[in-house]
Amino acid sequence: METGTPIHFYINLFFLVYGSLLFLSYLFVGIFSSYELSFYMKRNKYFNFKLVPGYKLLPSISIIAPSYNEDKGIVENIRSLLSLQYPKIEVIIVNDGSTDSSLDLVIKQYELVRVDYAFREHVKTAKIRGIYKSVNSAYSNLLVIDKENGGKADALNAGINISRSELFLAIDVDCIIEPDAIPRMLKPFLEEQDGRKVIASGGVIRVANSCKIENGRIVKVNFPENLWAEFQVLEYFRAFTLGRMAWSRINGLLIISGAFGLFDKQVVLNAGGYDTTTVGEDLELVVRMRRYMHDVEKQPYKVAFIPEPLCWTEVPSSLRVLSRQRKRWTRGLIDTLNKHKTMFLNPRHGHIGMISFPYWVFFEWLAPLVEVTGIIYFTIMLLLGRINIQYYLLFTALIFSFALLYSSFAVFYEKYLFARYTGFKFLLRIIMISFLEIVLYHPLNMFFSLMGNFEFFTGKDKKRWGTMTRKGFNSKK
Amino acid sequence: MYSIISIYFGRFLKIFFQILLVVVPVSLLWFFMRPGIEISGISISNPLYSRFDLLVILILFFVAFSLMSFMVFLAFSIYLTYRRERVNKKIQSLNRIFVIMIVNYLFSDRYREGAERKAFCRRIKKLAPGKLRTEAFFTAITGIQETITIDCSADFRNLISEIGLDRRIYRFLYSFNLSDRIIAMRVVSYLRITHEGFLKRIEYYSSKKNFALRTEAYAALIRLMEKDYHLVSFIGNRHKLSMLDINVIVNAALKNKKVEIDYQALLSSPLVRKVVVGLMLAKYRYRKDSKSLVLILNQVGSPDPLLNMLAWDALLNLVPKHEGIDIIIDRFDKESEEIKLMILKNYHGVRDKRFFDFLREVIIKEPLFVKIEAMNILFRENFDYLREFMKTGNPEIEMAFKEVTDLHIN
Repeated sequence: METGTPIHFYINLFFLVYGSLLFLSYLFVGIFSSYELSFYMKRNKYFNFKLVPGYKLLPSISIIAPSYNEDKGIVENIRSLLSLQYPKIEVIIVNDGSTDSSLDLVIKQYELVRVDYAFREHVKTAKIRGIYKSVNSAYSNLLVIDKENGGKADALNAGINISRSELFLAIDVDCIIEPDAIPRMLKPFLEEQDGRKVIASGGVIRVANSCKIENGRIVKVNFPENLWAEFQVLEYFRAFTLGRMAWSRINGLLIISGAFGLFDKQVVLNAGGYDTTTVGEDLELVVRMRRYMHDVEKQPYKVAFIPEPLCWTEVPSSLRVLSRQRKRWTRGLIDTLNKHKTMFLNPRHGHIGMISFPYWVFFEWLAPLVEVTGIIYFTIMLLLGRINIQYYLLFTALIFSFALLYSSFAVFYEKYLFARYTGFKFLLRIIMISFLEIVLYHPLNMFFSLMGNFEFFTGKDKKRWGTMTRKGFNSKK
Repeated sequence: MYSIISIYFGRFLKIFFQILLVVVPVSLLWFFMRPGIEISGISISNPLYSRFDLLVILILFFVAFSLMSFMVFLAFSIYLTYRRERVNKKIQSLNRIFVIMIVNYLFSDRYREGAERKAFCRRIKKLAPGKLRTEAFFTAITGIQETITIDCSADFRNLISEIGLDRRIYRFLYSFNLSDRIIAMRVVSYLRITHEGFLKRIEYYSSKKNFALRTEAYAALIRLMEKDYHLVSFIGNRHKLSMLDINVIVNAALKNKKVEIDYQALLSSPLVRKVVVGLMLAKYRYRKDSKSLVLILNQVGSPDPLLNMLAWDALLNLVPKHEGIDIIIDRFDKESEEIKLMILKNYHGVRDKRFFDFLREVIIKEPLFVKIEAMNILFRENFDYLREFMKTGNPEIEMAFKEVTDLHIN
């Protein structure tokens, strides 16, 4: 390799070392997740989850679903939540100051009346305008809270304040949950032993776009017809099936998706509830809960992860909405890392401080920045004739082939373990998407991440959520 | 003997291939990074070594490795897509066929003996070879036995021995595969196969660290029990039981009507989790016994919150309500908010002046949710007592009053 001046040599070396570490991390993720996935599947193959609701000793669960302008699917979505089989369950819908007709629709459909419902305000929230309960005994476990707009975190906090259960399931109201999702999510809590407390468990989210939905249930899983949604199917395979499972193996999981997570309510309250000053409230909460367990409780604990697809959600199907979501994720990530920066390489926080947190700093936050800088730097160097074109092409080929390998590995695991998408047509399309992802979706994501960084550091739109335009699940395919 | 050898040989082959998967790429990389190698006098030269830099060879190797792995995963995915559809259809139809055949076998006299029985066994034997089919067969019989209350274990045992699947149970139970062991334990326990070796193996699994294995072993042992001595001896001796363990044990014990539970041995155990199981079983399958009741009462007020809660739960369910009032009034102040709530939720429907006076005190002194529960009882049983709390000036009492009246009226 032509190194040119010593400074070029060191820059090249930096990119080589960084890239190698990134590849190594993916390799370890692949190995750990394979091991953990196969163990999980063997362990649960003959476990009858249908028996769990019949157990004599079970914790109570509140499902808390914040809702903002969800009139397209809210009635159907609540029906899906109410149909979940569990003996001690309450469903709390938090209307976060919607400006559409969603609250009226719910009141009418579920025969709700306003009640004086007592609660303690453990966490401060925006003003609660009213609490509604149904006069129909079939919906006796449904509570609807109407509050002034305060954002998703604030709505979740309001739900936690109202909840009278030991655990709560935080979900997006537009999500469709699998019928056995609760027993599966609950199992790690029931398996607690040797004083190792389970503080939260997360599940796999899948893309519901184009799926056939009837009575709040997924009846046929279809591969999306929209290109952007197709990319996200592959992305979710990689992130959930491989990434999170591997981190769960070493108890280093730092995020439980805001769309679907079961939490120990008391630990959440002790840690201070959801942070309303950030847009990455899901990541921030898990980091803070872990910090609380390390610093205050000083007790062994676990954040569990269930690799099975338990929750289906509608993902952005336009570039505009996708860019907003990704920029928000980046802002939330930087904000959380900044808020808990004392954990970085801090041995007091065990492998969270020494492995997970540094990983998130170096490879989740900085990777897009390093990647874009690298591309610009090497392209300029190539144009100036300062680097060998052979090496440039070889490294590019290596990156592309590795990305293909990683995608095919994730697809293989999906087919091997869950097989929710069936048929050869799906396989053909996901392979095409794997190729396209490298040249189209990944660069776009990098760009959105850069924009997110820019917005965060310039203070522009730092706490803005942006609107998620949903099409709703009413159309049957 | 043959079974053991084949189990270990299969295991050896699996590990061998796993090692091969790592060794082959590493050896190839090692080879490409050298000018050549010599094996038993045969020299193999590396054509790339003289043409390219080592870094180029390294990158080319990883590119080739990634692309080949991509192709392999792709091929596997295609194969799985094809196979899964076939296997799913096969499993579904096998399950259906086995269930229909076995139900016919159990409830029809024509298969009791003679040519029809022989023909039936031949048909099952024809369907059952192969691991997948055996698994489907075992799943069908355990599923049927789990669902019905009649004990068909003897019929199943005869059938299995006639079609020669007993060796498979052995293979499954001693297999290295976790799910094989689990299904074998189910078959052994549902079919009440009391072979000493099997029992020892299951007891061995009940002491394992692996959660799934241990829990299934507990359930299997309880299903096999006729007397309770086993229940007392193995519960929680080696492991601190989790909630899941406790639930599985309790459910299995409640289903097995033959188990005579020695409540006294469980409740007087020094092991907390053993007492927990005893309390739960006492609540759901209690035999009137004053000694047990005293032991339950002794656990009330235990420093272990779970034990205390379950002791209260058992007590409230076993002692007639009018007799429990004194205990409640005596101990209520000392209990946590959670237990206070549980006590009150269990005491709806009591019409006793002392209890109403006690509830009045509860409303004044206790936390919000306890107030609400006490008011819920008064609203139903004696509204006159509740009337005085309409305007007290205490915001918590007013909040509780509003909720109770609002929810009851609506």
